[in-house]
This record gives sequence, C-alpha cells and structure tokens, in this order.
Amino acid sequence: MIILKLLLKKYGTLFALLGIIILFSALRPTIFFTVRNFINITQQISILMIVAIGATYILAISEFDLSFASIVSFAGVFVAGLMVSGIAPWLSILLSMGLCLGFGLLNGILVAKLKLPSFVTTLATATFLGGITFWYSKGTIIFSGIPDSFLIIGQQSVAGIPIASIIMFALILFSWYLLSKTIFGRAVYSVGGNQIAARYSGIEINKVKIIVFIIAALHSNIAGVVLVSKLGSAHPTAGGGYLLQSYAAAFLGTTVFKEGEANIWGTFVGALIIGILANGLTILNVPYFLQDIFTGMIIIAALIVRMLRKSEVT
Amino acid sequence: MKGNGKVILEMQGISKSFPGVKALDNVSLTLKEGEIIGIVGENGAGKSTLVKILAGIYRPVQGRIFINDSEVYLNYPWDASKYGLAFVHQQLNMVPFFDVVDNAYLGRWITKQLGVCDKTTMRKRIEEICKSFNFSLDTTMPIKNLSISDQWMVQIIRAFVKNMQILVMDEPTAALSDEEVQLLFETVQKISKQGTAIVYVSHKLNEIFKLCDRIIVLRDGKKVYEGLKEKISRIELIIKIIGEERKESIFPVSEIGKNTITEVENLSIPNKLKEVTFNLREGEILGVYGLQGSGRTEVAEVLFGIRTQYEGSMTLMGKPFKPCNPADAVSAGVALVPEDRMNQGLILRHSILDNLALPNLLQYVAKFGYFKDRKFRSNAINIMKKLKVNYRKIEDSVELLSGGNQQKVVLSKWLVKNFVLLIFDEPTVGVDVGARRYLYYLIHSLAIKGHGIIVISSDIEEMIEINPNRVMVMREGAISGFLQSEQIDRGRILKLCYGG
Repeated sequence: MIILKLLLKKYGTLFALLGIIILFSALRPTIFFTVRNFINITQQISILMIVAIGATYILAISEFDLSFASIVSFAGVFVAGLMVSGIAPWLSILLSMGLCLGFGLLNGILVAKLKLPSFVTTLATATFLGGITFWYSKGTIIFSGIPDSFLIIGQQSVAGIPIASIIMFALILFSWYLLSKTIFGRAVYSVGGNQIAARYSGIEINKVKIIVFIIAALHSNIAGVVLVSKLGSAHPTAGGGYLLQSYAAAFLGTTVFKEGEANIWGTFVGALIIGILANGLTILNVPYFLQDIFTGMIIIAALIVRMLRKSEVT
Repeated sequence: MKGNGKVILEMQGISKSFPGVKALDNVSLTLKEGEIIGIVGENGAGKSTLVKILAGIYRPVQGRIFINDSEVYLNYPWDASKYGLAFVHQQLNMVPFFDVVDNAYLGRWITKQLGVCDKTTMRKRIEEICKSFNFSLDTTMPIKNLSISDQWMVQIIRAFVKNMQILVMDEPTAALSDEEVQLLFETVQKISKQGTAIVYVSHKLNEIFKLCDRIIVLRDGKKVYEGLKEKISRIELIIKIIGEERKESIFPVSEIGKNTITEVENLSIPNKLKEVTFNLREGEILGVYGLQGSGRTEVAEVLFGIRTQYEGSMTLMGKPFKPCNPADAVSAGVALVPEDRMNQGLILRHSILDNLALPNLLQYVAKFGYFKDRKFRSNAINIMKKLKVNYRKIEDSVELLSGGNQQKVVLSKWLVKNFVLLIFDEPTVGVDVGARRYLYYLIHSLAIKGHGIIVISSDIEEMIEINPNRVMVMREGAISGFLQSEQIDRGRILKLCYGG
C-alpha cells in the first residue's frame, strides 16, 4: 500500500499518461493504437511542444512570459509576408529569428535590468507585438504566394517521420542537454530557486534571465514558422491557443522526473498528455468543449499531486 | 519559589524519527512553575525537534506529554496554544507588508462585529508589551521596513500577546544586539517570577548560564546530562555537548606572509562609509567588529561587488580591483559567506550537490558547457567529510538538513575551490559549539595555507575566541581603531566601538 502510494506520487503523471493511452486503445484499438497514429500525434503536438520548451525555461527561472502566443502569430505572419514579397524562405526565417531575438532581448532587459514584474511586462509587450502583427498583415490571412518549398517543413516526412516532429525532437534534445548537463542549466535553475543566493554565488543572474527570455522567444518563433508551413497560411491570431497550453504542459511536467522543477522531458510528458487527449477525444467524436474540460481537470489533478509531495517534506 | 513550584509540564520517553535519523530517543523532562530550563546541544542533537513536538508541529512516535498532571495530545499548533504554550521559533515567520500589530497577532486577530479587526485594542496591547520590555517601536510600520533585529523583537512580542503558562524560545537572540538581549532577559526573568515556566534553547552558553536554572544537554537525540547550572562548569558543559572523544583542538597560530592580498584605500559611501583604509596580507586573519550600521557589512559588500557605487580604490593581489558584480569578485578569487544564510546562501529546495556546485561552475566545465558532475561530486563529498556535515544523500534537498548542517553546506560551497580572499560575515550565528570550534580551526588552517581572511562579527566572545592577527573596530562608517592580537579584549573593543 505504501509502495503504491509512493509510486503514485513519484510517477502519478506518467501513470495518467499510460492510463489515457490504455483507455483510448481499448475504445478504438484499430484507429488509436497504431504506429501511424502515434507518429501523427508527435506531429500534432510538435508546435505546442516547441512553445512549451520555451515555457520550461521561463518556469525554471520562476518568471512568466505571456508573449508566446503573440510571437507565434507574429513570426508566422512576418515570414509569410516576406516570402509573398519574393524573399527566399531561408532568408525570411532568418530575418524573423533576428526580430524575435530582439523581442526576447527586450523582454529580458525589461524584466532583468529594470526589474519590472514579468507577468505584466510581458502582457504589455505581447499586446504591443499583437498590434504590430495586425498592422503588418492588415488583419487579413496570408495564403496565396507562399512557396511550396517552404511548405515541406510542416507537411513532409523523412523516412516516415514528419519533419515537424524531427525539429521538435532536435530542440528537445538540445534543451535537455543545455538544462541538465551544462553549467548554464545549473545557473538557470539556481536563479529560479533563490536569486539572491545565486547572485551571491557569483551567478550573473541578469544575463541568465535575458538569455532565457531570448531562448523562449526563439522557440515561439520556430513554432510560428512550423505552424504557417503546416497550415499553408498565416493568420494574425493563429498562435492564440498556445500560450496557456504550453504552460499547462510545462506545469504538468514539473510533477515528473525532476521533482518540483520544470524540466524538458517532464514538459514532453505534459504535451503528450494534452496531445493524446485531444487526439483520442477527436477520434471518439467528443465535442471540443469537453476536451478543454478534461485538460483543465488533469492540470488540477497534477497540481494536487505536486502539493501532496511537498507536504511530505515537512 | 524557583524549582519548588508544582510541575507544569512533563514529557515522558519522547521519541521521534525521520527517514534515516532518530531525532529524539526516549527523552524525558519536567518543568516546574517559574522555572527556566536551558536546552543545549549541537545542531541535529534534537533540540528543535523537541520544540516542534511541543508546538504540535511534529507528533512523537512514542512518549506521553502531561500538562498540569493531565495527559495531552499536541497534534496541531492550536492545541499547544490551548494549553497555554507560547513559542518563539528559530525562523522569522512574518508577512512582510503587514504592520507590527497585524504580525504580532497573526491569525489570532481580535475582532469586533462582523469580523472587523479591532486594531485599537490590539495596538494598545502591543504598546503595553513594548513598554514592559522598555522597547520602543513604531507599531504602524510594515514589518519589512524594520531591521532584522526589530523584526525579531516583534517575533518575541508575539509570544506575549496571549496569556501563557509555558514559554518556549528556540534561539531567540541570534539576530539581536547586546542591549536587546539584555531587555529580553529582564523581561523573561520578570515573567518567570510571576510563575511562567520557560524552556530556553540556545547555542550561546553565556546566555544559558546567565538565564537558566537547570541545564539539559542533548546529543544525537538522547539526553546526556541534566543538572542545576551551579553544578557544571563551562568547559565541562562543552565536553558534554560535543562528547568526550572530540575535545577541543588548539588553534594553530597564523603567521603573516610577505605578499599583500588586498589593499583598500579611502573607501567612502555617503552616509555609510568614511575613508576606510586597510590592507590584508597573505595568511592574515583580520577581524572586523562593529554594531549594526557601523559599516562592517558595507565593506564586505564593496569587496564582493554587491555595492558598486563608492569612492576610493582597491587592489587584489597587487592589481587594481573593481568588481561590478559578485560574479567578477568570485572569478577574481573573492568568496563571501553571507550573514543571512537561509536567504542569501542557499537554495533550500535544491539538492546539496546543486548548492555546492554554484560558485564552482567555471572550474568544472568541459566542452559544450558540460558540467563535470562526477569529478565535482567526489571533491564535494571530501569537503563535507572534513566539515562533518551530517547528510544522507548528496542528492537530498538542503531543506531536509538541520539548521546547523545547512550552514555547514554554505561554508562547504566556498571551500571546494581555493579562494584568495575569504570574507565571513557573522560566520557562527546559529552554529553549535562543536561546529563553531571546528570553523575557527578551519579559518586558521586556511590562513596557514596563505589565504587572506576577513571575519566580520558583532559577537565579542567570537572575536576573542578566533584570536585574529588584528581586529579592526568600526563606528558610524569609519575605522575607530585597530587592535593587535595581544591587545584584543572585551574592554578595549567596546571602548573603540562606543567611543570615549
């Protein structure tokens, strides 16, 4: 009994993931439980996961960044606009990366150097960027004139694996290494744990925070590019849903692997739970609003598990 | 009436274990009306556990508790309060933006109809208590605007808000000035004469001898001594606390080398520091003594790059030294063990290993920023062995360790690498007798290896016990004098400190 309790506490979120998979497999074995569908799921969650990687960094330094959705939309519209006006896809992507890097830098400087509260600050910069996006796109959807070579990113596969999934896994591996194996990762977690102690230990906390905001902005940027390529069109509010879902994934992730801390593989489990729920419920023809209700309930459950574990310590 | 009154509290055969440790092993004690007992022991000996059991925070695995001859079960903090137990805990528990009154009455606010707080009545009561303490305090001030020592006074006042028959104090004086300690003791003695029984937990043996009637020594969770304070000498008590097998070692005498580690010239900050000039050579231990606000902490903050707005100049190892932030200072070889270890020294929920690694990241970096985990781990374990840190696994989070062991971890993190200049700001606040002796020994052995050491302290006993090469006494931001090691005594230090 005690062992079961311990297992539940430590791996509760993983069990939840497993439970969902078993449930859907039992209900729709021929459609859900297939290699094809799982590959499909990795593609479906790729954009969410890329944004959520950024959220993981932000949570690791105990800050907030509410500008993800705006960056995703902006990057999409900006890249599409440039390509439509005849600029090569690679150059368009590079230019958008440059701008988003600047935007992340701005967020970082406002929060780290000017010590503004990150929640409100990024809400403001997000609103600002949203306005720019509408101004740039004149509020319309861009779809004609996007070159086919660009659509490969979001729509084609290599050796049966979608390119979007490959990009996602590459970014996961990169951030896993960066956060858990390097001195930069240690610096990041120390800033989140206790900034004063980190500073007194010789960590340049402002630099760390600024870099984290840049990394987060770049991930949202990449997500925006993949999104446009997948849809074949760019909409000025296309990124809307990714903000809360990415934090949901990252929060779910704090309950697995690295206890109480945001971590990449945990975030991946979180994104999988959200993605599989959406996938499975769609297969079952469950109305969309029920999917939101389930997702909300799962996040609350995960937070309760986390709280239980905390009270164990004292 | 002392010691002859009726028994108020009786604890019988109390035991408590935590994963991997037996925190208390069959401890019994009795407490009579108007009696003051002192509980001493090293960090991790079980003192705080005992207090927390009385407070209803922990539940004992075994044992019974009687109050006024009837058995009680202290399962929750409000149970303890129901039986007239009041506490001054080791940590400050305050809501920063609440004022003094709200904090003193936290969770026990007196209300009028409809749950409206009766501020007037509460304020009057607090002011009465302040008056009986001879302590002046602006009760409308948000607590975060008060100095740490004033916040502690509020923490103590909080215990007095309700009528109590037993007062339990766990290291209440760690952050108080000498005068405030005096005020506190007078008040405690007054209420004990009125019949309140007092349990006083402290590392400061002077206080124990001054205040208590009876002394209880805990070691490794067991009661190893109990007796009237007249029956035992200070040295005997220290041996009881640390155990026969670990008697005191004699400090090696530190010899000053030729090379200068650091030179500080005409350091000034408006309203904080006035033309502070001193130098430190290799192997030298410099004590810095001063009251709060004397500028002692500011000197350390400038050297460590925390304060960057100042006039004057500094050198380190013969080169100009102007750190813009602590990172500069650390990479130049300056270490600071800060005063407020909980907030400035540790990341409580992170592992011991992660905490130890922080100042040493750049020494253990390989290609692609990789942190050499294994290599660091073995070095870290070595240091902790030397410091006798009591821990289970290096992956455990620091918050699982006892207070003293946490402090040893803070020290350990600065000892993995060889720093040129080590600054200790109040190094032994809250550290037990055994660890304190060991720390002094360590300071001396670092000096022998040629490090330059600055020890900042407001504890005169500590200054004398460390026996530094020189003591620099500060007053109102300026140096009021230096004392060579053979001149160091209480009278001279106080004279320089208060002037005249």
